[in-house]
Amino acid sequence: MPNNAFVNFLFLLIYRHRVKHSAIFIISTLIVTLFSSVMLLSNALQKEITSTLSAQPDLIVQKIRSGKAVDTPMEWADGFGEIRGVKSALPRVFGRYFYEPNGYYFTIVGIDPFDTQATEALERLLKGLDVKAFLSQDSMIIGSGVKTFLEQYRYLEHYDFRPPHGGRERVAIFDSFPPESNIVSNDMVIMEIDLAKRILGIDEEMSTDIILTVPNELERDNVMVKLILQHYDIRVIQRDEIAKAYKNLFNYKGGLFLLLYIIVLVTFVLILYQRYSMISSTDRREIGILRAVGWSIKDVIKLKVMESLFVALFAFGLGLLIAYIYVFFFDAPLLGALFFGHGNLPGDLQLGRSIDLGMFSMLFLFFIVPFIAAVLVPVWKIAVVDPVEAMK
Amino acid sequence: MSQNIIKVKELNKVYNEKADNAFYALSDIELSVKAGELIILKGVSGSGKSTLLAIIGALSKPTSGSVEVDGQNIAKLPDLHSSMFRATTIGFIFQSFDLFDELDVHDNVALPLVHTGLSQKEIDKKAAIAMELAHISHKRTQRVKDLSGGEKQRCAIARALVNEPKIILCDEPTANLDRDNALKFIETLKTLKALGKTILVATHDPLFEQLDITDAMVNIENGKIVG
Repeated sequence: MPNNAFVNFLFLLIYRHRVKHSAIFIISTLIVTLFSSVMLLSNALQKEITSTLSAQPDLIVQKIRSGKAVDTPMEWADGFGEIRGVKSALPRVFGRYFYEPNGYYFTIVGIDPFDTQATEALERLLKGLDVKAFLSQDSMIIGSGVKTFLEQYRYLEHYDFRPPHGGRERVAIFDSFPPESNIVSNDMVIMEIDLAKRILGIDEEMSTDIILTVPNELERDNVMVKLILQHYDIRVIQRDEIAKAYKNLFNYKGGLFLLLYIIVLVTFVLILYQRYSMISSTDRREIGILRAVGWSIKDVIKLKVMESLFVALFAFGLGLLIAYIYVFFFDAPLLGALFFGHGNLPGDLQLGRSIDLGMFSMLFLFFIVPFIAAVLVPVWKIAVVDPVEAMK
Repeated sequence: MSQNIIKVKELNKVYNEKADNAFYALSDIELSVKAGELIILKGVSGSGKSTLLAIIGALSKPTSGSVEVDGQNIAKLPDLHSSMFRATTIGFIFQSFDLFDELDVHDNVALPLVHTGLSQKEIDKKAAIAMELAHISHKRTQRVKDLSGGEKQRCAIARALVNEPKIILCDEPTANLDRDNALKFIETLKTLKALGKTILVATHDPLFEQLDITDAMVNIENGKIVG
């Protein structure tokens, strides 16, 4: 354990050599900031997606024609509901609506007033919402992305939709979702199911798909077989498949960044190694002097490694702090859009604060170990030379 | 009668030993120095006097022969032991002072003690005594890069004394000094000798030829002692 005097000398040396360390410190901080941001973002997004998907139905049934999803008859839901193991089967109505002024798509979702699962979810998202009042009139609840675009064209009270069969559907803006739920609601327009059908051009007896609740996980495969036996022209999607698709998407993006990180880190280590290999005559002399006045090779290496370790740790800590502020206080501008993208509308993303310690331990090891190694080897090479040679 | 504190026998230092261009920096050196003596190693540049000092101070290893200093054969000491030997027995004063320019006088003087495990308080106390002896206390907080040549050397002397060594090795100590500062250095040598230090000075400065405190003058030519 280094004593007081050694630590004092270490800090004195760091302070005196601050100009020498500053370039490496700045680059290190930038690298750590970038990759910590990616990790924080990826982690927070995965958590959001997982929690969002947990509210998704167990099975989704879509009618297929020529391999393409088409509207599904609502009456199928009655037949599906009778299959053993199925707790509920409900038709859903949703679809994309092209918003001409900006060239973006909104996602219209129709809510059945008798679908308690959907109405409860709405009440959870919007505290104090009078669902009955909302669904009893031609009104809509809109995501904050939709709100922004409508407000740009002064649609503050209502908006006139153009259904495919002609005419106009005037729909009043009842409320809007908070930005915290942007990850799921940014481009959403929620309205009563029949109104949604009129706007999307879906026949009265049809729905977009049918969702099934199958509480027993082991029953799901059997239910899927029975569904296909009832209707050969369907596609059944499991919740796990959606989760996997999302995870694959983010893992793929995270993987790209990891690859980038490895390239940047290798470059950085090479620069560091070169920097210390081409150690200046002053550095060589300093090591020579220390050896001449009685410092052992071990003492010199300890001093130099601790000097670098301090710079690396400080850069790591600062990089982490900046990343945390950047992601969770400023919602990761630029990087967030790059990493997350957007389905229909670009929108602000507000992420829940979470840190995966395992990932940061890994980042710590992958940063600190190469950093120290890149410093240690050249310093050791000089420290073992005769002090008189080093001082020349 | 004083004991020999330094005994050098059949010492050789060869560079590129196994190559065609092998260079004999020192050949068959025999030297004995008693405790408390002041010895002048005289010779032109490249004669081998600095190499001899470096070997006696365990800064460099000989190719063959034995070097016994203060009862220890230092010729083949491993790093940890030779570092310990330098830290406890030897004080060096180099031609170009070899100080940390960015540090102040006190921190430079304290340098040999930082790794020893002494407390900061003890280190400060010893550094203060050494600076007093070398007459540089008044500049203790000044950075070395802002000192004059003579002050730098006094700082180097204080650093050489801080670990209370028995032996002081000076390599061309007046080469970078004007005459006034060189004379002051000789005065310091007298003080050190009076303190009982064994001193070896490698120099080609004629100023050292008529010193009344010199115990012996050793002439070195082409790596050999010639008288």
